[in-house]
Amino acid sequence: MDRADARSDGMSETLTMAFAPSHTATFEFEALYRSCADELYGYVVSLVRDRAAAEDVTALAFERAYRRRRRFDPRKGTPRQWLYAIARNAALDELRRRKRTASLLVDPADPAAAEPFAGEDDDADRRATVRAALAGLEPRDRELISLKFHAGLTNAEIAGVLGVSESNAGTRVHRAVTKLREACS
Amino acid sequence: MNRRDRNDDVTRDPRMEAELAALEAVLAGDPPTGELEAELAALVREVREETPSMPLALRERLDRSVADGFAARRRRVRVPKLTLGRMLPVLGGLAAVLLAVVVATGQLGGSESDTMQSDVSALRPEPMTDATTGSSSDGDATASDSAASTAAPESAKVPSPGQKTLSPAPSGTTQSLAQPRKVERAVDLSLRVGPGKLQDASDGVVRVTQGVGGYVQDSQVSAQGSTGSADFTLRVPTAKLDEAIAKLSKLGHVSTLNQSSKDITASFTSVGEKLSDARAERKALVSALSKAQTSGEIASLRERIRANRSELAALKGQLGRLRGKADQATILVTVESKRGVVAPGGTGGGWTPGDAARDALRVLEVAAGVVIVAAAALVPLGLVVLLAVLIGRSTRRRRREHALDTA
Repeated sequence: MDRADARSDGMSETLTMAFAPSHTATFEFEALYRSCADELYGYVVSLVRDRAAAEDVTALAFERAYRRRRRFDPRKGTPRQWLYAIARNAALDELRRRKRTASLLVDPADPAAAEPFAGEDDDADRRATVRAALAGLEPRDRELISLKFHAGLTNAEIAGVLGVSESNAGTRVHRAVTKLREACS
Repeated sequence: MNRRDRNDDVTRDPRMEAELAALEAVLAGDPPTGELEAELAALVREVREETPSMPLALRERLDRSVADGFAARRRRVRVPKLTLGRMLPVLGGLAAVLLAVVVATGQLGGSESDTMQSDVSALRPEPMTDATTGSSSDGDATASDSAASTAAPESAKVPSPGQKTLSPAPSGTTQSLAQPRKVERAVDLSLRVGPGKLQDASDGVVRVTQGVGGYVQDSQVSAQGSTGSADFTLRVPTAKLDEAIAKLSKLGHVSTLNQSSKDITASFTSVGEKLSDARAERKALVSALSKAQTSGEIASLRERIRANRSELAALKGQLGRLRGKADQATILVTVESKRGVVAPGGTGGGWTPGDAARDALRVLEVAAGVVIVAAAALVPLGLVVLLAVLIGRSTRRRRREHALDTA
């Protein structure tokens, strides 16, 4: 846990300090954006499972964060945690709005990804297995995998995003990873 | 948080702790030290390879938006949310206005109200029709009004050309309709002066009374330190009554001013007629006495003349008293010296620091009352709003989580 905290503290501390003075908020927000954009998009895709919708949600999340940047309170968590919480609410609102079923939300298979290159059959099989395992996870478990593996959030940050305790977040992460390992084995 | 989540909070399996620690090490980029770490490292790498990367178009769009501060999407009209921070200035303004209204109302409804009412009523002319209407069975009429009259004495004795003499003359009398009415007038005047001004006001009462040709029939002064009270019974010529009231009213704040009028014309006429009859009888008795022949007849006439003389004296006395009532009005003056009273024209008493302290205390009392009343109204309302906000947040969160469950 200490290692994870140390890993995330470097970025969080920098961003937190950067958020403190409001007169340079544009530049600091841009730092947050640069550091989190790709991971946030991946996280949103894991939630809405629709890349077009994920693009809109990601853009909306950054815009909301930009509008509310002066309301950010470092005492309540890191900027990344705050940004992911905004993105999560936006994604869930999108899910509610669209009322799509899980089956309709699954992206169509990428033909290019499905066709393995010569000599890469084993890797392709492994990727297909992982992809299927991820798709087979429950949405909450898939979200945890995304927050942990893609975004690299600490358990404390995940707890802040989900609104649960840090201990509970760790347990959930462990449960989701275990399910993924079992599905991939 | 469901039951399973609560259990997760308290039960941490050592094996779970070890696997989580291994995962954190892998995510931190540490080299694998065992089979578990190697498996997790491969899993992390494979999952990350499956991570969709942000499309270039979205990247460019976001780059531009971040660079220009999302200005392009800011054109939509947004209804400001009613947050507590935004509502505080509004609520503060409303409270200030409410406080000002209550303070103003409290000041008007306090010690100044009776004075103002009296001042206004003192300027209102007295309708003299009250004195000339409403005759009682014996011909007398009584009227009372809380206002001073400017034309009362003249109209009391001599009706104006347009004024009707509605009071009917007693039957069987020879009263002329043109005969001036006899009206008994009385005034009850209460004055309030500042501390230490009782003696000056009392001297002023006597001076005014003598100035209009009247006299002090009775007086009683009671002083306690700088405060106290004085009662006067004044008799002034009815013709100078209004002048006397006007001058007396300047000696202090007029708190009450009551004026009553009683029409004594019928009584006056009746006594006058009786007096005339008695005089005629006396003249006849004297004439008869001069023609009397016998001693018995003379003695009888003399006895009757003696009785007639007594009757004449009594009637003259009655007539004189009635004339006195009509010619001399009674003024009951009460002068009260109290704190917090400002004399007319700003003299006498003044606005002392003590008065300022009392006013400040009064303002604080009113402000505290406003706060209590406002709290009584706003606290339940605030609790309801808070409850609604909490329920709304909880519902929205539950719906969001439900959306994830069904995704």
